[in-house]
Amino acid sequence: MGAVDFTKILVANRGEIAVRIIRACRELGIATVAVYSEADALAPHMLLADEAVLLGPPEPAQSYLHIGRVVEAARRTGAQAVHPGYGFLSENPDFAAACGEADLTFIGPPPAVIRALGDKSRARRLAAAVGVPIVPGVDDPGSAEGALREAALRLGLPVLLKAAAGGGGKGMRTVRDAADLEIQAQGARREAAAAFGDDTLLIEKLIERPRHIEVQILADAHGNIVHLGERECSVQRRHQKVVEESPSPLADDPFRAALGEAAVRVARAAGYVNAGTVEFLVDDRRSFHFLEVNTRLQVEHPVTELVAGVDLVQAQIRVAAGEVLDLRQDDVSLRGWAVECRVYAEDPEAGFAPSPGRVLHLHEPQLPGVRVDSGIRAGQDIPVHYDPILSKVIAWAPTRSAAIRRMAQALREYVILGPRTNLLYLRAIVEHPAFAAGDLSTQFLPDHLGDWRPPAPPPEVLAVAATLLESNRHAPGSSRRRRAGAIAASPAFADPWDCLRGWRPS
Amino acid sequence: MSDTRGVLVSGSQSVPYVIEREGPAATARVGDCEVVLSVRPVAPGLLAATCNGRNLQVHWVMDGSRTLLHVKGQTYEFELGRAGSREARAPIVEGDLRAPMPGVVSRMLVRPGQTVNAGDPLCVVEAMKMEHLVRAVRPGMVIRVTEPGTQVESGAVVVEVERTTEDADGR
Repeated sequence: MGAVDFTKILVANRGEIAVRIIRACRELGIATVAVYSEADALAPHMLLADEAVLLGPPEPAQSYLHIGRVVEAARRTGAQAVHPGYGFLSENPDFAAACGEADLTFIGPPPAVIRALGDKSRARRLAAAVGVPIVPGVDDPGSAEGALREAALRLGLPVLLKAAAGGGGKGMRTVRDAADLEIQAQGARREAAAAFGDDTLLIEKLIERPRHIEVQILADAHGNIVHLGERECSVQRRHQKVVEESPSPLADDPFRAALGEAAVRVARAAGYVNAGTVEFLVDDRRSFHFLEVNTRLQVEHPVTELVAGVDLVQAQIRVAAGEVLDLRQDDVSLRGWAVECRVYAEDPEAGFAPSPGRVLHLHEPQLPGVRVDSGIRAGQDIPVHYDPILSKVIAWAPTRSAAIRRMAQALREYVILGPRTNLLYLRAIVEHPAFAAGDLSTQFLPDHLGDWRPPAPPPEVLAVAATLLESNRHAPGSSRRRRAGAIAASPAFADPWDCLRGWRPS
Repeated sequence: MSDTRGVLVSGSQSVPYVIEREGPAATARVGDCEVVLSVRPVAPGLLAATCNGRNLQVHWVMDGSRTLLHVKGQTYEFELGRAGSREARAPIVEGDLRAPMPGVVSRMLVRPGQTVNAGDPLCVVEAMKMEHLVRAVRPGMVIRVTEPGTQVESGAVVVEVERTTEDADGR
């Protein structure tokens, strides 16, 4: 394939996904424009791009969600296309339309497709109309008092409340007791309104212990649609995916073919163009039920990239430029196994409370078959205003067990000091026998790691810590402020204990 | 040769230690264990330690009074304990509701003067786009609340609740 038609792309996102997209553009020889908020001055994505435009204050509504400012940044810098990444404006049809009106190519599906599929109720009806099974549910029971209760009781408890416009677990609540319906619905509506600007809810019958399996699709503007196999994303905490893999340990060839065919059928019925994901819940009898379509790049897209050998971001850009897919369904074959872990700035010891703050020390794993998609750098202040995702670790190997071992090793070598992270918790997941057995469900974490605690420090760690603290106790400048500096002197000549003083990041 | 002693604090745990230095090596007694160690800096933030003959790679950084360590895939936080320091801290008034994490008080659901029961939702703290509901831990009367929109640090008191008299057993 030759050069792409774009010479400059604006990346309307932040963090690891913005970095990922900028790198893909660079590989294609396309210049990049980053946008950033005041909280992200000197963030990796804005440093990496060829140009960067300040959008405004940290609040998403004043920066990454501000359609007018993003479009204006693209016009001012002469970008021809906008890549929205995931989250923020990626599934906002008004943004896609605003790009079109400003003669910018939105790298994603047409606004009408985003609108149709973004309405989960409409998407469900669309899937049902082409014979794809859906989860029993009630679309928009209305906000009238009692309507929600009536709908929930008609379906039978437990039910799942979801933001009709939603995704990513925001505005989603499980309700098992009718007494909790109102308060949970209020919370779900608030979260939905804050995250998506729309508080419409959808009620679904809860499938107990389902597996979450999704299909990556890729469609061009010329009617060609392929699927790139499935990803299993069953390991979730509060509806947020934590560990994903491709292929799914549950899927055999006939299952994969049936699921992929169903996904392509939904995509074709929706007039889908560009990369997208069709999500399914799979029950304990291996029956799949359509859940929703995500009309954007997924966080977990790298596992598909590694097993299918396709760069999805580059494919998105080529499709948006009007190119014909150079891939037929028969060309797609999955090779080996890939696992992804999401690294979050959260404290597993404190109920997974978000843990923003400065990255004081950073060391990323470098192993064969391991990819780290990161959006952070040493010295960066992780803001409180955005998603807690810091980076993703993706491990590939010929077999699932080898990929898991590689992942465990990578997690062990990954050092982030400053914000607390879930790195050790992630390793506990991938090293758990039930994970190794592929025995997964969306209840995996509460079932197996509900009372997980990190092990207590062993004596050698206590000894090293005591030594370091003693060496720094009377060190000059050991005030409460962080101090710039490096190791004091050449270790060969100085008192070795003095050398331990003063490694404080700037 | 020197001999220093102190207390290492990690979360709610305290471990007394004694370190005896002998040239480039040291013997550390931590709790009931004895560790013979030597520690050499390798690069900023990276140490090569030998503990009882085993190599350990240690990533570390100091942040104010805290020392953060990463050893064998696990991260630890330590502080030096000072005599009486734990008692010297502001006592946690039972019933006060603290922010579970740094964030913004997005909604206050109660007013001063209002009586609440254990488990009642009091306010919502939002951080990194997730809402966290703070509930009353026991019944009482709300005496002070935080203005919505206020940015709070982890552990900051967001709602002050006073025990009501009929409930104040032992007072």
